[in-house]
Amino acid sequence: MSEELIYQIADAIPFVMLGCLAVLLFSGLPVSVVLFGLGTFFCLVGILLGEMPVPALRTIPLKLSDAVRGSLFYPAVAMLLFMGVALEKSGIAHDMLRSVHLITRRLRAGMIVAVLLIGVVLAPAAGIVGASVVTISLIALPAMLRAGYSAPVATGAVAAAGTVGIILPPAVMLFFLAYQFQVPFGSMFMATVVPGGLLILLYAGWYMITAPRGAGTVDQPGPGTLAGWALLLIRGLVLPVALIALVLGSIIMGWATPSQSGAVGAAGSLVLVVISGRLSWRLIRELVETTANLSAMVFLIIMAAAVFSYPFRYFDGDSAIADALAALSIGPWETLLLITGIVFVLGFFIDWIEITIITLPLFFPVLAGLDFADHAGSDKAPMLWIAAMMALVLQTSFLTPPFGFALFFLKGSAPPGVTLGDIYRGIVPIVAIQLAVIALVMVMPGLITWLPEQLYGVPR
Amino acid sequence: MLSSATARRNAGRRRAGPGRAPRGWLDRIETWIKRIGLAAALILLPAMMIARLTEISTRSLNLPGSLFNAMEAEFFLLFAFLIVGSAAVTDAHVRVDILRDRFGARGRAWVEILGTVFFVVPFTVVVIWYGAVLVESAWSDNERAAFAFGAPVRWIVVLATPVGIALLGLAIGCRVTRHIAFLRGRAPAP
Repeated sequence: MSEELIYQIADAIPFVMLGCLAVLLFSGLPVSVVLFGLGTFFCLVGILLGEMPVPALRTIPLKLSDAVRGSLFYPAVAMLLFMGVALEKSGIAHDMLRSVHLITRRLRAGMIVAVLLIGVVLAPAAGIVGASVVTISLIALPAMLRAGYSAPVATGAVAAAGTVGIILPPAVMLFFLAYQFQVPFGSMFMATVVPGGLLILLYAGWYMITAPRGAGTVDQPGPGTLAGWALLLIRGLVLPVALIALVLGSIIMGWATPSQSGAVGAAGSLVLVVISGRLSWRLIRELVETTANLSAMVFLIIMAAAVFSYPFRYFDGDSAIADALAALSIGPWETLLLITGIVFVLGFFIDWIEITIITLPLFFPVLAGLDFADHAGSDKAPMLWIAAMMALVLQTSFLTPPFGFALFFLKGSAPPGVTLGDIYRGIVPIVAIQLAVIALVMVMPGLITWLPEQLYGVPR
Repeated sequence: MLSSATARRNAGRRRAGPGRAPRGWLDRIETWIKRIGLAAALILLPAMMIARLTEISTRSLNLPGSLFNAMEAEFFLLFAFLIVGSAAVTDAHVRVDILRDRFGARGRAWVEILGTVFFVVPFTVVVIWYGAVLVESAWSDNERAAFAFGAPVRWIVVLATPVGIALLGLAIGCRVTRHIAFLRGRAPAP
């Protein structure tokens, strides 16, 4: 083979790798298998072309262990997953819905408000979108339908509640976004609080105005005695809220770093399980097994992405992407909108784990080069602003018909009789609210940067 | 997508659920891979939790850090590698399955077999081969973690990579064997 041809093939390798990835992801093979398989395959191609030395293969096992050791926050991810699983499997989430609804039952759309609040408290579990949508759907949807809400209204509220948690602290996705965008974990956690809170207020407001009067007010007998009330409220509301407050408070007060806060949450959730009187060997085994499986899924993708990116970077894939976008010669706003659009469409098909670990690092150099310092208020603020916006965009993408995959989970876990058409009709106002809030934070970055600046000062 | 993985995991758990004795060597291998993953998680998750909590308390009390604190990264590394195999047994690794359902059982079986031959086998061989080279050099240099006492012998941590990936390869191999048996009409679709 002529040297010229070999150079051309080597130059094309990053694009061929991305093309193969795009096609093979849809083969239905595990995402991690596709990633490490392509990584190894293209290392071998590089060696056959004489463009990569054979000892380069020795780097692959090192890449795997380096990927796992890559960040201090990884162990915290396992801890937070444990916390979410514990709240869900021990029935604490169910207690929460019951007690919050007993408080909000006199409000119009009181049950929906209760469901939205559960979504906030289940945020760490919501790190895994499918899991939180299914959890909330299983514990709340049948009760909402029985209480007289129409299927579109009930499913819309569940979809909103099940996905809003992924953008609220201490959701696992925020750790990954902070890591990829190189912003402090604490700032990332606080950045989404105002837009997330705004979303919840708008959802609740919408349902309070439009939900039929009388729905959701069916008798749910409260505890007969004062002591019964106190017990239910403590078990179902005070303790879980205290747990989330402890995790976030330990970070804000500086007792624990964000990466240590996961252990605080995990230990706290275990205490809650003990207090709720549900601790058993079987439950512990189930919690550990589920946490291990979820962690394995997340971290094998992280390891496999490191193997994929090894030949990709070796053949200058990073700069190839940046050059391709630069060749379009469009301004910073157009570039930002283009990348946001790509992430939005990807969110239809793949989860945030793949997007934050595989896609965003490809775009990071381009995004980091965009000049939004004046718009966002300081030199470092644009990354925080863009990272929080990506969180909102991803959440919206999971909700948007016809592909938003939170909707498929909802269909899968809904009682028979609820059609995909009901779900699509119910989600329209929610998507409209999402798009309005995204447009608002695009125009007013202060909605994102204000709270972190109050707590941590202007990023420098 | 993730929750469909959960559903599959539950389905897997039903198949190999308690009360049913393992049948055949495939079942036995899978049971052992799952036991290793569960044992690792049962030991290492609490170890990580305690390491972080003691780290927080020693720091707030201004006490010197302990060896146990420093080992958290090692615990996590062992945890991550020892659980990937057992997650593959229960098919918990996430797939983009939008088109997969349209392939039919035979199509899915072929995809799994080709994916294993072209992707899993080369990767597993490379990691085990070169991972073993690293283990051997760590063993012969008696390399130790760069922490006081030097107690955590580094080669155990180096060993985690090839062992974890070997367990993963073995778990996927068992699954593919079931797919081959299905294609030959000797077993139901896995």
